[in-house]
Amino acid sequence: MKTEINKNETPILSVRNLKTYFLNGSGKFKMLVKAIDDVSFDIYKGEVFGLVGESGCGKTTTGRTIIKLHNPTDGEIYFKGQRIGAGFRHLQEEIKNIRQDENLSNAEKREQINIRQKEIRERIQDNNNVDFDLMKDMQMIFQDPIASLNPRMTVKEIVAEGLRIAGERKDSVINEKVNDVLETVGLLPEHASRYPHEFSGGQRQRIGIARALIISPDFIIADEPISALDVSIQAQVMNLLNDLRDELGITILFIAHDLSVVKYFSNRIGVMYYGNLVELADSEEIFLNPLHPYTRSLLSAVPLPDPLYEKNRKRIRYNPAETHDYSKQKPTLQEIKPGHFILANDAEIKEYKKGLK
Amino acid sequence: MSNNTKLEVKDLTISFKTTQGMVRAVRGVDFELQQGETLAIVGESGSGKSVTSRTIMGILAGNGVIDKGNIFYEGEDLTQIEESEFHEIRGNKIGMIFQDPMSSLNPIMRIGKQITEGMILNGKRLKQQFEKLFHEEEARVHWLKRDIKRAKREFKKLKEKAKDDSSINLAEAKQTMQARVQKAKEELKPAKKELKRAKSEAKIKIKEIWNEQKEKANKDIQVLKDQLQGADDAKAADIKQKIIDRKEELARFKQVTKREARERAIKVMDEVGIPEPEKRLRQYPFQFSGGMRQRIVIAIALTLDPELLICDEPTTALDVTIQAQILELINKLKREHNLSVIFITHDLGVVANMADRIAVMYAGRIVELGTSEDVFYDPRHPYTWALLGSMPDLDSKERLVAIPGTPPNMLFPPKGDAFADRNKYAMKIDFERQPPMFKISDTHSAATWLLHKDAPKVEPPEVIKHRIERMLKRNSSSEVKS
Repeated sequence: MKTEINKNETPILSVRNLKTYFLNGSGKFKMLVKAIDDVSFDIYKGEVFGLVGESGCGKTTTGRTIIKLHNPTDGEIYFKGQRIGAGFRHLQEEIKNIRQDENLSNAEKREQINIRQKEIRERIQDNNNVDFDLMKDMQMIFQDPIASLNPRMTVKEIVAEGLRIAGERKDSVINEKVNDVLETVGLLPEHASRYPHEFSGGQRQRIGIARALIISPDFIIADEPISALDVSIQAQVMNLLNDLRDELGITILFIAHDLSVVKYFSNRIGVMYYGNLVELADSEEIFLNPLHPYTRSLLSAVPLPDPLYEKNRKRIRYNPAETHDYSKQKPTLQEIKPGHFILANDAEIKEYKKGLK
Repeated sequence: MSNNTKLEVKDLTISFKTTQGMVRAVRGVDFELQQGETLAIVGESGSGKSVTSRTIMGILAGNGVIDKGNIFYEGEDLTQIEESEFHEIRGNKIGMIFQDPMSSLNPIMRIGKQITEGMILNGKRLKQQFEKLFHEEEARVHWLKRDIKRAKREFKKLKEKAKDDSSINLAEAKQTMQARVQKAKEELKPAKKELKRAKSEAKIKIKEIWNEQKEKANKDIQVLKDQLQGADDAKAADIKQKIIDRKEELARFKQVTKREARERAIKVMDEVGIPEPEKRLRQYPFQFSGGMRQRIVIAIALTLDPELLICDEPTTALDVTIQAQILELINKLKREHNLSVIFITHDLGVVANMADRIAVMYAGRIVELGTSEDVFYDPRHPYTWALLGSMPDLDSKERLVAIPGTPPNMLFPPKGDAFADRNKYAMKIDFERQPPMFKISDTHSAATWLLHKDAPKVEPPEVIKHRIERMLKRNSSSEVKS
């Protein structure tokens, strides 16, 4: 059922060495929280890319940084070939190092610093002046269908807001489009005049999806769209997302913590752990060949509706301090098999290769 | 009822009074729970599973009414006993783990205080001893008062009924009521006198016990104090500690002291896997992660050593890895303390690991009840099929079977099978008459007309059939391997 992906095309979204840091606290408690620390991946047209990890691993921050709700600290984001977000922390550090370097003459220093300052200016330029029409093609579905809808706005106002911001003024067009999109997500046109509190959880999530769909985006970031829903309602929303992908050809970045749902829904899966992407592969591959210990531990925690299997299930514990020895060499994301990436250093790669099926 | 039955719920019916009318939350639930067994109650939100468990715990919301039915806990009917008697059962015998660890802990109270609070409140030992001495007399007075109230209430109801129904003889009813009230009132007077006498007797007795203990302690302390004179520094400190310990012992005779509660709290926190409990006791809930907070909620439930533990969606707010940890913890505690557990959830996947038996609830009724093998490998009710079909497992590729529509509005409960509206297998009779529980095997029963002998043969959806085949194959192959 999953669509075939042509990976020779240019990816619709590329993330390169993305870092997002937050400053937390003040005074002596001030500390740097590295929510995302060096994440790179590509998303191709028409695919569903799943991002999994436990809460606090930075998967939501990744989604929010891509749609520019947070500014990246470092790294670059390309959407349809255009740079839409860029940070420059590493350039600043390079400049600092050059200033302290005693081997260089003043003229050399100035020259090198100028190059980097020019790059920084370019990045700030790109970051602040993003093409509005381009960004319209990217939309987000939020996690909590209760908190993400304004209780004082009717469904029509909520759904049409994006359209109005995009410059549509004619009421007749807006009405028509709102009705169309409500129908697409399985709501009725008469729901348009109601308020969010009159809907059930599943219906509310549909409103959130309708809001994202109204300006016909090519790319949707779905941030745990079903985590807050009942099991029976989850299936409704998942089927809806599936239909949307098949009918409208939308590319989706699907963020969730439930592996069975992600497996069902995604073409490729990236596993995140504390700000890093630890493993990235096709969804079949990652379940067939889970190599990184964290992926294995995550897989072993998934409960299945099968009592006999459950009684024998052994959970694998993951303790990064014990499992990895990174004192000699820092790990990097390496391709161990075509399309299968893993965060490891050279010694570990050798180990992992033995376990490959 | 066999000897091992811990809890028996019989035809429990609960409604809520709201401005729109009576919401029929629970409509006749029957189940029993054996010693050391885990029963999982599964259903959508609004199916009445939380209401049932809260009623067992005796913390039904103010507008909730138990219309009929009984809850027997070790032979005692929990729906009939008085709030003060419930205090002895709640916490001590039945513990509860609440749904959301964020909102069930007080954010401005230290963890230590929250864990010890229950122990200290429940731990007035001398007072409990005192109350036990005149309990019988007090109960008698209480029952008589209750009888008077009940007689009046019944008459009032009858009066209202008589407005529509002329065949009721009001005058006669009034006479019997008055006679009943009169008789009770006559008995009440001596009963009250008896209570007063018993109370004062008990007071003297308890005072004697207490004085005796106190004297003993004082004597010991005096001896120690005598030793204190002329002792060197090291020895003096030792003796001083002994005096403090003796005083503590005396205090413990009277009630659970703060020190005792603290020691117990540390032990329980250690048991549920919270590292550095001494330090953690002084912290606030916001300093804990979600999984740790849930552990604290479990620790609070465990402090009083309950025999029955009710877990109300303990893992819904947590993610997969933490969920697995918490489930393992509950299983471990269950084994160590020989607990009986009622486990409430909407996620069937969680249940497979935990439950011995499963009750699937829908719209205030149990629609399927069986061992976990019965329910997972041989589901019979369309709602169970729908629940199973709506969740993907690691091998599913087919389109999910979503349940169309929403649960019925329980202000106006449907006449027939509540699930009929959303059920593609529904027959005409489903809309007209409520199906009874059909027995499939000794352990397995389901409430659907499809099981009636005249009903057409219906196969479960393909998705589920495939999945069950797959599961059975996997299990048999793994058995061969092992």
